[in-house]
Amino acid sequence: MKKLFVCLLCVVMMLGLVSCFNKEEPITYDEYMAAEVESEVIVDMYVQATQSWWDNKITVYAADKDGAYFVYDMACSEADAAKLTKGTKIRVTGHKAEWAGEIEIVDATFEFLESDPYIAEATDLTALLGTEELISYQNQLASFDGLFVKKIEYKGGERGDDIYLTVTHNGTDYDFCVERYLTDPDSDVYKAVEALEVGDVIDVEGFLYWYEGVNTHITAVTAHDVDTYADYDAAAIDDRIVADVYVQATQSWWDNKITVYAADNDGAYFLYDMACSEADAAKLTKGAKIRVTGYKAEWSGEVEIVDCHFVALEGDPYVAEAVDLTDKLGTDELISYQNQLVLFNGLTVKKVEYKGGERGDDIYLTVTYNEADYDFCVERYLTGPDSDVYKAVEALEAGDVIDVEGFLYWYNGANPHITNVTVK
Amino acid sequence: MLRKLVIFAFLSIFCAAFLASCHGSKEINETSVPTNFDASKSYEITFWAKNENNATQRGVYDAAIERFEQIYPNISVTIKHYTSYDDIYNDVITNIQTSTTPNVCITYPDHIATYITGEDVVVPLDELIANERYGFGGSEVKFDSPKYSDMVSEFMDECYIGDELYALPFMRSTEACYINKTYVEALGYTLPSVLTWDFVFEVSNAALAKNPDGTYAVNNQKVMIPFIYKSTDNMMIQMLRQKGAGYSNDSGKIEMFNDTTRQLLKMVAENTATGAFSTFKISSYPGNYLNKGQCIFAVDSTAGATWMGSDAPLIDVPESALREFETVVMPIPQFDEKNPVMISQGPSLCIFNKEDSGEVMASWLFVQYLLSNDTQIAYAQTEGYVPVTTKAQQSSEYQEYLSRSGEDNELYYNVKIDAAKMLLDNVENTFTTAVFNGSTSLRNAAGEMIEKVAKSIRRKEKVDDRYITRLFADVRSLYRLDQVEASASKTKLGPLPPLSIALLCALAVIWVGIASYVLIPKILKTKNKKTPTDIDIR
Repeated sequence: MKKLFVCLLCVVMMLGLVSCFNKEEPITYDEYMAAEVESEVIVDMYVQATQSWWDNKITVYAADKDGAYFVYDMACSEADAAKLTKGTKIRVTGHKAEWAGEIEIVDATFEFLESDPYIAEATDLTALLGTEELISYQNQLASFDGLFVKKIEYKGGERGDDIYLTVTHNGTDYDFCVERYLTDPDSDVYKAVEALEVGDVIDVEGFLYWYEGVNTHITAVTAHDVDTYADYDAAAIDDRIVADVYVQATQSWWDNKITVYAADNDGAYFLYDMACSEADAAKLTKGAKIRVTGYKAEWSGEVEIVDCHFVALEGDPYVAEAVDLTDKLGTDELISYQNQLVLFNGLTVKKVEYKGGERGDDIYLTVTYNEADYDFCVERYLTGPDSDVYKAVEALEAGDVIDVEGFLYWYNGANPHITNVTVK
Repeated sequence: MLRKLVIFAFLSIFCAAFLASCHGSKEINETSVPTNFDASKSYEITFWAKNENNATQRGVYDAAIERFEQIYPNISVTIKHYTSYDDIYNDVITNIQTSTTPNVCITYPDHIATYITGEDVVVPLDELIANERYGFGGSEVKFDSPKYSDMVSEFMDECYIGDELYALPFMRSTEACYINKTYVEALGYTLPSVLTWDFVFEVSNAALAKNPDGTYAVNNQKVMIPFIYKSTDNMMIQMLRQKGAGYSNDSGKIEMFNDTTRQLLKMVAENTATGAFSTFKISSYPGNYLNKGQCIFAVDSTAGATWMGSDAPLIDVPESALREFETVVMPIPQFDEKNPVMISQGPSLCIFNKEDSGEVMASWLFVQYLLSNDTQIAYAQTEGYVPVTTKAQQSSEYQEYLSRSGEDNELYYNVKIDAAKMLLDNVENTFTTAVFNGSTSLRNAAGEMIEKVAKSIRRKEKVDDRYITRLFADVRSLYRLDQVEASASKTKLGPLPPLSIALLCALAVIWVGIASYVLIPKILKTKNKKTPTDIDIR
């Protein structure tokens, strides 16, 4: 009897062990990404959002701490769908698939798991737009800042269906989508996107969906107002700036960037290393109106807009007149004219020297006025060695009396970038 | 007593008549079809239309409405655009319950079969068409409307449900095989005059040869899916028709689960296993792969021709991914080269019933206008559609349009016009499937079998006879096809034959006889008793 009892116990234990080994364990995000398309996958994940339930199916945007998932048409009762709230942990069993570049789990079923909720933070991927690295964030909640609205259209031509939003960043277009099954026409985001206008600067948050390239499903959008010069002046360093400005001059284009001296009726701007294609650079003619967005920055006293990009605007050209600031030289008032086209008369040349010691680089010009010295600069990217002003300045001699026109750049004090010089 | 007998007999006959009428009734009540139109009244009608997310198509609809409203200033048409037939279907179903259906909508006849399960929902069109004043070519119609004989008969067939015409074709398309001829020839093949399944699979498998670096030799890319089919339900339906095998009969009896289907599924399995074949549901749009040089045979509707080819006017992939190649349009692959067979498909128009018969007549006039040359030719030019009237097809305007193929990559885009010509050349080779309540489910089931087999193969499952037997059962259950058959067998009984009516009447008479035999003696007995009432009366 005892022997029989022992045998039975052994059998029960072995069955228990076997069942333990057979139990399929969930895989990690990395294992999921490494899995072959069409292979069966079991993944624990946290619901981040769902599309609308229909016909016992629901599509889920999910994530864990390592990455994100798109679970397409997962089998789900209407009652269970109501429980798939943000942060809920579920175990999904399905097959990995790829559709138009979107990695997803299809033919899936799920079970609820007990756990504290997890809600992923949006990752700012603005800098990765247009890079191959972007796809590694597929399906994650992402944010993109400072995008220009280029086109808004309803799929099918009228309200109710998805909204296709095309934005421009650094001169390249990207497609976003208001997926109506995620955010329907009654949702705030649907209404906000349809209210956008071409040229608006927006910040967008959404799930990094893929359709023949990135095609983010928008969950939030914020439009920035256009700043006046006063707003810009009052803005803190590192604030987002959106300004409508007129090109006054440009430095030479290089590596898809260009530095612009710009102005409006109320003041002037220095747009440092603005993203720009070579073709677009040719359109930045004197007086051209553009909308620029970037961040306010200060570098050695120069207040500028950096990490910026732009779109061209329709409008009559505007070219600022030079402001005579001769009597303000040496005063604290001068800085309030920063970056404007200014004029100084009757300056005496004290010193002319090439940066680096020889022709080709910038020219540093020191002048004297009312017994005080002031530094000016021939910025070679603005006025190169072949320009008239470069040649005129290098021909100056100490003691020459000159009138100088230039943009009131700042480098540890006023350091105008000369655009014209007249020897008296 | 005699009076009671008379009443009893009368009741019996009435019951018999009632039985007879019940048996022969249709699922919807007879709609009162208007015969007149009050031009002094104003009407506002709604039109739910479908476009392929194509601004040109929206423009054609808008222009048609504008012209129609000029002709009939008392009729105002409000259009609602959809990009999916299913969305229209779902909205119509929802609105039937609240009696807020549109006046006119673009639809598939399969969908109408569901709409008409409701009472008096969709207007039958035969009487409207025949109306001498407001019907086709009617004397009071203020524009050049088509005559019944102008309608292409092959395209009309699908619009009959039973014997009743519930829809009119608006545009017709078929499926086409869009071929990267450059790659076919690079692989050493020449396109035959009739494309066959054998040829397509042979070339597709040849295209899977790889370079030492793992890229495909034919395109030097990492991706190559040589043969992609957009609509697998059409694929199965057409293959079965080409093979002469069963799909369903006209009354909804399902014949699809047969040995030919088994063979076809095995063919799908075999070519999925090699990587030669995939589907839209599994891999995405065939046109996108074609345009990226990652597909050689892309089967999709002729109504999607403007998305096909290197120079297509509509492109859905990044420009950098596009490849240059020559696109050729051919009918779908065939099993019998001498008897090509292909499906006829495309949007149809139906009219919903309204309390105000004038509104119905206004809708009918608008439907006719959509069939006029103005609209037919303009809309057909937006895609690889063909007009549904011979009048439009043979018009000099349309013929000129066809003759200018390739003049540009917009209106005269050669792939689009080639697709339309291909259908025009094959109208007599087209077919439609029977429409009945549940025919949509059957169609979905047909496609699902191909999708399931392809998926299973990709997931390394074994597809054999046992698998297919199980698949048949699963699909039957999933799409409730047994209920579809049962429902089909309940409906479509039609009116009761006169002989049956006579039999039922005879039965009624016999019942009356039996009743009389039983009841008369009792009545006579009762008559001999005096009731208090009798006494009181007397």
